[in-house]
Amino acid sequence: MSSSAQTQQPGHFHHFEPEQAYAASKFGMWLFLATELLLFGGLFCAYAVFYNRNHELFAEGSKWLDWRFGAFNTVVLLFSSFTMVRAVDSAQRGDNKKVVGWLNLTIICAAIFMVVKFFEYKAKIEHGLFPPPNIYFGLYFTMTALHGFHVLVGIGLLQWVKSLAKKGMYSTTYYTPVEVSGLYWHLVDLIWIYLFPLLYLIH
Amino acid sequence: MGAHGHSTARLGDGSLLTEDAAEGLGHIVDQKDYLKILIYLLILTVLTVVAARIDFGFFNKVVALGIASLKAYFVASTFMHLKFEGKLILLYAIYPVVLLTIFIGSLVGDEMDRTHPRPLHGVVAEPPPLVIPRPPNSAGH
Repeated sequence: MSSSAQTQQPGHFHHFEPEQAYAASKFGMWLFLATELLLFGGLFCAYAVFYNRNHELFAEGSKWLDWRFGAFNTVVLLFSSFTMVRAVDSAQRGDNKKVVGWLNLTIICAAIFMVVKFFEYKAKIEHGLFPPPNIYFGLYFTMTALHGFHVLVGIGLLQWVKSLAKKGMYSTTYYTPVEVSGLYWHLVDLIWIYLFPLLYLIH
Repeated sequence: MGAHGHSTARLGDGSLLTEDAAEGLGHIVDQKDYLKILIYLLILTVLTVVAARIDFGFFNKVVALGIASLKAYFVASTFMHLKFEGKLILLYAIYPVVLLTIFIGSLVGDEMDRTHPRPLHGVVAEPPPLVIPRPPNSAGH
């Protein structure tokens, strides 16, 4: 049996069909996303319990949050999901230059999101709401900070995927990194889709 | 390929392809569909904000989470390509959602039933007073 390393073409691992490697990578990312769902799910469970115990606290606390920032950030992330899936689409068609362009747009959206988050946090800290005085703000900071951390990791990930596109790595038979990082990015968007109404829009 | 003298099936000889792999390398979606879904998502976001201002009484949370779940469905089915995936990935994508629905449903149901604090070793504990800070103006800024 030959002990040759990976052949020149990316995605062609020794003894693995490209289709098998692609399917396995995608499945592996979905496994990871399942763990992420349960990670944030635990925090949503905590939210459910404490919301039901302290409804007035949550309604009052929500007034400290500006829904316009939250709505703007929601639109930014939805748009970034669109640019991300366009990047995947371009990679599927083998157009590496377009991949770089769409990924740049996605990263810009992520950066805008973090800048808005920065100003929101700054306002809270100036109002003396950090360290959080009660469970509503405890949940607000924990959930949004964990989500924000995932956005930052996503930016790093997308920069790496973009660097592969700049080297012309993607083709119609190999675009796995774009696809699986797209899956990660869409999950980050999904989590925010639930965070926005639950934190910002309580009656 | 499988020409190394081993008789057992191995990855790479085509006999162990999952149904996802058997479909080939992914589906190419019409680009117009992606834009269509984005527009649906933006409309639903506007709806989310509008619906928050209307009092549905008991159904407030149901409406808010329902609209959010509809958005989640669009992102998951089209952007994440779940509608093209086989049973294996669908199972792993949906199972945590089912688990969470059971967890959160049970927790909410438990809380809603509770009319008094749970006694600790026979002593009824008073919950500590809540700190409810009020914002400087009521509309948020």
